[in-house]
Amino acid sequence: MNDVLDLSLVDWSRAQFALTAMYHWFFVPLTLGITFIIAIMETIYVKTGSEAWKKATRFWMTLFAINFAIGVATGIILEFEFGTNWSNYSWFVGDIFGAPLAIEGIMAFFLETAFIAIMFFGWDKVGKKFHLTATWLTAIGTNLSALWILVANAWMQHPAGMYFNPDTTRNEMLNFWEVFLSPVAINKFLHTVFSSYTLAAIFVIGVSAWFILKKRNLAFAKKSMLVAAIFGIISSLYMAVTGDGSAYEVAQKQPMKLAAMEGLYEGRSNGGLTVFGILTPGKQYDDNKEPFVVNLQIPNMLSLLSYRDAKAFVPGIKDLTEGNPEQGIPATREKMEQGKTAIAALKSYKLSKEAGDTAAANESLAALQDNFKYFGYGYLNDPKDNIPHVSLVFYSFRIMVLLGFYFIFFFLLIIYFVQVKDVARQRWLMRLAVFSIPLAYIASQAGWMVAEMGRQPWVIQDIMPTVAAVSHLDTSSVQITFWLFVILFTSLLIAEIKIMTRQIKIGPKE
Amino acid sequence: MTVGKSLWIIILIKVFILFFIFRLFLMPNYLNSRYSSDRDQGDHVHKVLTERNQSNTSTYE
Repeated sequence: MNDVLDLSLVDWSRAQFALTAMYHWFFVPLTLGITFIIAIMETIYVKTGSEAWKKATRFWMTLFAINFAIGVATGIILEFEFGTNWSNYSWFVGDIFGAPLAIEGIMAFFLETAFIAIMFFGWDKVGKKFHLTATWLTAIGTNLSALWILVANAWMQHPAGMYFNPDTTRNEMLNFWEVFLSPVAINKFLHTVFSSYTLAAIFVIGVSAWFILKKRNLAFAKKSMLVAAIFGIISSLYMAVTGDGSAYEVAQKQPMKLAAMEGLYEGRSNGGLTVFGILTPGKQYDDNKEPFVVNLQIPNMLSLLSYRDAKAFVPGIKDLTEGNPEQGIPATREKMEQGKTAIAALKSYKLSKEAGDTAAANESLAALQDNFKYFGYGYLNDPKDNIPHVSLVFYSFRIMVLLGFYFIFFFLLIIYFVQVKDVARQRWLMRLAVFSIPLAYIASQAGWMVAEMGRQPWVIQDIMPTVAAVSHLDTSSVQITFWLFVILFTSLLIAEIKIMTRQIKIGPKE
Repeated sequence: MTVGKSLWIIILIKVFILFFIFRLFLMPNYLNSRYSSDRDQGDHVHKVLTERNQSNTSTYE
């Protein structure tokens, strides 16, 4: 008897996970970045002995404390959801997902919490240098937490270094370093943390600009702005470089995601990069509509960025769905057949083993291993199921990239006006700085939407789709927890904004 | 109320809601709450993965 799912269960489970992840990510990037800005300010204080820098450090530390306290443990709900809503996935990934998360829990979390306590409560109780060390270790600890989680996420985007054990129905880690040092993991970690540093820099500049607009604490605001702008320009430039690295990896490992990012339906050599585009509403991959209403491209750039070769062929959605023998691209339907063979082989392997038929079990095992690469395709009912939501991915990608380049320009403007002109007189720039705070959050969320929506339908690329990963729960129970999370997270967000704005209005203690 | 006190209250309420309401009553671990041994859990996932929502036409069925 087949285990038939109500598809709305998959959708509600996905919506619940997306909601949790997006709210969680509202708190995390500021924590990742502002800890380093605080550590830099405290280093200047310890070096110079200037009380002004100590006040600045303590003010930003208070805002970090608010963000940390309200955001902490929101990530635990994601772990609850793995066990409750995504139990097949949690079992299937075995120690590959468990190991990085365990390291995160043991090493990074304890490092982070131990030194956070010293950082918050240790002023005037421990020596200056000891306190400074605690601040730096807090910054490093928070970033190490992110490292392990992003390694686990990268493995889902590009599974490597593992072996599927059909006896336990689990993947087992063969090579830790292959998982840890996968180019996808390295680029993902670096791009994510540099984007978080960029967000934190914009936050500090925006809040400082508010003080300038209010004509309050001008010296403090200018000092903070300069540190954040220098930190921000370095971070945003690295963010651009690692973004290119991430997109290159996507082209190699997740070509369908790249095709969706570019709205590329028909593959082409000398592919142009869409700088500005409006997609044709309702376009399907197999209709004859033009994909774009408006499309401004840089010729050859997509091929160059994707394959480091301006002439390279970049496969489109149609090539990846229907296949392109000329380019050596198999059709999704062929992969579906291989996937179904792998699933059937897994089933017959167990039956043969239980019956004591070793020869048949070995034959099934060989078939499973030969076809495991496309195991997840066996759950697709139609080749079109392999196509992500193109417009969502396309526009999210453009929003992220556009804002990323805007941030570089913005940091340069701030540095110029702080260093060369009187920044306090540039009220237009200060208003722009305040307005840029939400833009940083939008860019950060858009980036995750590209990464996660772009890889649909996969929970683990090519091996497990969401439909196979989800637990067979009552849809109504998922709906109830979804709405409870909406209430909980929205309350936390309101509390964060309210307490944060109140503390900003109080300002640094004189 | 100081900012520190507000934050401690929020943390405690949040931890209570997460661990004593969500974890205990609304979000139990699906496999642990149904199967006591690793073997049974593995068998369940094997069954689901080989039977879920797919029409098998292979000779290995």
